[in-house]
Amino acid sequence: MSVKNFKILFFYALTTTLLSLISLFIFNRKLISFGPEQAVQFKFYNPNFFTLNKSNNLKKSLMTKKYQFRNDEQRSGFYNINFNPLNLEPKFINDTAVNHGIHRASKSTPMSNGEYILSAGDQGLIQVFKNKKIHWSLRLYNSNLGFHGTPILFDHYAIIGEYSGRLYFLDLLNKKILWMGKFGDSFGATPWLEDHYLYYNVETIHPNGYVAKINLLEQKIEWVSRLLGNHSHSSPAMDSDNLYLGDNNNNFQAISKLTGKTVWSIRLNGPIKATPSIDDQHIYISSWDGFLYCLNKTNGSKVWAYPLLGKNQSSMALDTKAQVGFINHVDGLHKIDLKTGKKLSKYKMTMGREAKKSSPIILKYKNTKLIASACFTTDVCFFDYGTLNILKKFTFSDGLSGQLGVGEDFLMITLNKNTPLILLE
Amino acid sequence: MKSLIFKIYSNFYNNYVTKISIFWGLTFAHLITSIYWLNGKNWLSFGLENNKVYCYPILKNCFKFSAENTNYIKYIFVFYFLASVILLILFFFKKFNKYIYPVFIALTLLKAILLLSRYNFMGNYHTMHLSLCIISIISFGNINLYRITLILQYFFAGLLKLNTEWMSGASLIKYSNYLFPGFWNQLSLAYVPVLELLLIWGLLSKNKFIRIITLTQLVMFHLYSILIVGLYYPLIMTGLLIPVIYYEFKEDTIVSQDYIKLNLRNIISVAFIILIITWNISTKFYALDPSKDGYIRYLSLNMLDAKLKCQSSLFEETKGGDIIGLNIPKLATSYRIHCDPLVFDTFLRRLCIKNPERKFMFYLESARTTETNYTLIRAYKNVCQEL
Repeated sequence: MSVKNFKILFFYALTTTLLSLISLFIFNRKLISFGPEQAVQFKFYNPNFFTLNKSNNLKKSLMTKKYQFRNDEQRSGFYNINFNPLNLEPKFINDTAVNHGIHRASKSTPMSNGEYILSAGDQGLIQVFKNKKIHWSLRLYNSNLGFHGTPILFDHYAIIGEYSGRLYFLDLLNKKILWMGKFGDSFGATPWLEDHYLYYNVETIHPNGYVAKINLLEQKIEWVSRLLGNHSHSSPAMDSDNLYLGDNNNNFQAISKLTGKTVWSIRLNGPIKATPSIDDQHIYISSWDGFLYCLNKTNGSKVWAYPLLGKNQSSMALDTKAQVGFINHVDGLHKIDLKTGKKLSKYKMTMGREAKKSSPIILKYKNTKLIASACFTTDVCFFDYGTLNILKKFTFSDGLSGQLGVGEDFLMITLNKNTPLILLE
Repeated sequence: MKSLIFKIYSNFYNNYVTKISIFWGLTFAHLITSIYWLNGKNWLSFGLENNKVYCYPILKNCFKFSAENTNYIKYIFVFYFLASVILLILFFFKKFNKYIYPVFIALTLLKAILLLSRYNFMGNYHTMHLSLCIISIISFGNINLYRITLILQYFFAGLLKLNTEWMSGASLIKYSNYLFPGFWNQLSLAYVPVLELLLIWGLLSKNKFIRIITLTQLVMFHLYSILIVGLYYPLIMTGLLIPVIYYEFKEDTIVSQDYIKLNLRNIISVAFIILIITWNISTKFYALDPSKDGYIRYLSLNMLDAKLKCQSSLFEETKGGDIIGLNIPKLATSYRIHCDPLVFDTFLRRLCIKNPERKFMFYLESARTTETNYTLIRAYKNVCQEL
């Protein structure tokens, strides 16, 4: 090789390397600085045929009472009812199965606001009943895992998250999908709607999961939290300042409702899949590490830990006035003193695979309270509030992994698979 | 007219022997294509009941041109293969040289017809090959016009790589770091657009050493790409590089000798080159993202610039006013077209032919794997009316 050619080759190689480095810097910089905000997958879709009505009617509707998972923002699972549950008898509402036993996560809880009943299944079937008669049947196949979160109902609207990471806004009266958006890769948890703000946690394939607040009227993201580090199946509970939720990365955190910043975060010894329940000062949350924890709301410090001995993802039903709580575990229903974390009583039974994941609810009729929950393997029981004795028991063909839905004068049950919506009326 | 054709042909034939090398490389690429297409799924895609047939917009109902029995269709592919083999052999017998040009035209025509008949055959290497075949036919093997067309193909392919998707390696079929581990792999990915956008112009240099360096890099690049994309693509690209390599060793001053004369065939050739440029640039204006929306994809290059993720939804509005979400069967499995709207369009057209009375709604959203936001690609309010 001549000297001239050697010089050419030298400068050629030098220039090529420099240019490659420059282009790598310019175009790969985005990847290097791939932070939470960039990683969050959200976008409002408003295709022509899914037009969100921004009229005053919707504004008014958003101000009406909302029917949501575990009744209130504390996710207490405490319901005041005006019918005697012990007089109820089961009845299939139609002959279409809601769930098909797809996926092991707890199933969606049916919801009713008096006029409408909405059930969502694990193969994408949404059934809307008006005055207990089928009104609209909507099959969505965007995910082969369908719906596991629970719908939010208000006026004649519903909001529900799908395992495809989409959120649907449904007009039940006109049988229309008003609007939908893809926010992540799967909705396993249930959002919370407060006024016109929706708080939700969604899973993303990588990096994993985030919480966000959106303004439904403006179709605007108010804030997006930091990435949770792992999937979050735990539906958030909230008070006036923060929302509280756990994730599969063993972390439990409080996130500011105003800013989306993490207020505090603590690490437990196992994944947290349950929905927390809260009172004025404390949070009650179980973990796969085998404990039910009572945490201080201000800083997340542990107040007490109740041993459950084994994975738990049941949510505690709270009676804050009486300072007692109820939680399911594989060995039965536990009644716990909220002040001390001591067991008050326990109904000992072997819970089946689905029933052990379920969450009890407290029903208060006049001055009587009772506990309604999955029990044994394929049963649903009403327990005496004080003694935890079984007052009434229904046996079905499969287990209940979620919780009972509460209607105006009836209760609702969706089993794990191959069963239509059951009304106890 | 007859004398004019004769004149053009004679003029061409005088330079025949020197020009013919271009066609050898391109015929080699025909042979590779034919071997690639001999796979049974190609002629099965002409079967009446095959639901995995996708059409270009210009032949949007291509699935109608199907046969009950695909047995005889397969002979077209076998014929293409045999014709390519025979043509390659003809180069070695001087007395048959005069047949090379017309047979080559016929072979190119056959490839073009097959390529356009089914979107399933889509591939950038085919687009590049076809463009170079056409320019060689029109210009009668003008090596400079050939070089310019080849450079343009690399250039536009390089433009598509100026993004995070390519630079990060996310778009590759499989991520290979056999030779370049870690950072060096990233650097090697960044080097590719530098080669395709800038260094490629070295092929036009008057300095032979620079031309040789450029060619060496292209050959090395395609050799390395075997690890990632397999054999067919690099082999076809080798076929396209053969004429340039051949001329480099045959005639040192060929660049200045085979200049672009102002005559009819060169004017047409230049017009064709301008057309290629326009095709490729137009996608930058018309398309949201050519890798996602497939807009005039068959006219422009669309290489390994993106790996897509997509979500599609199909709804039916019943006569009772209910909206029912419908299941979309698994369509194309090849990741390069699995999110392609043309694939969905063909599926929807077929659906509408079978169910003309029904009202379907459809939407498709796609994102590159390194993107966080999905882009809405299709939103049909009433599929059967809009398609």
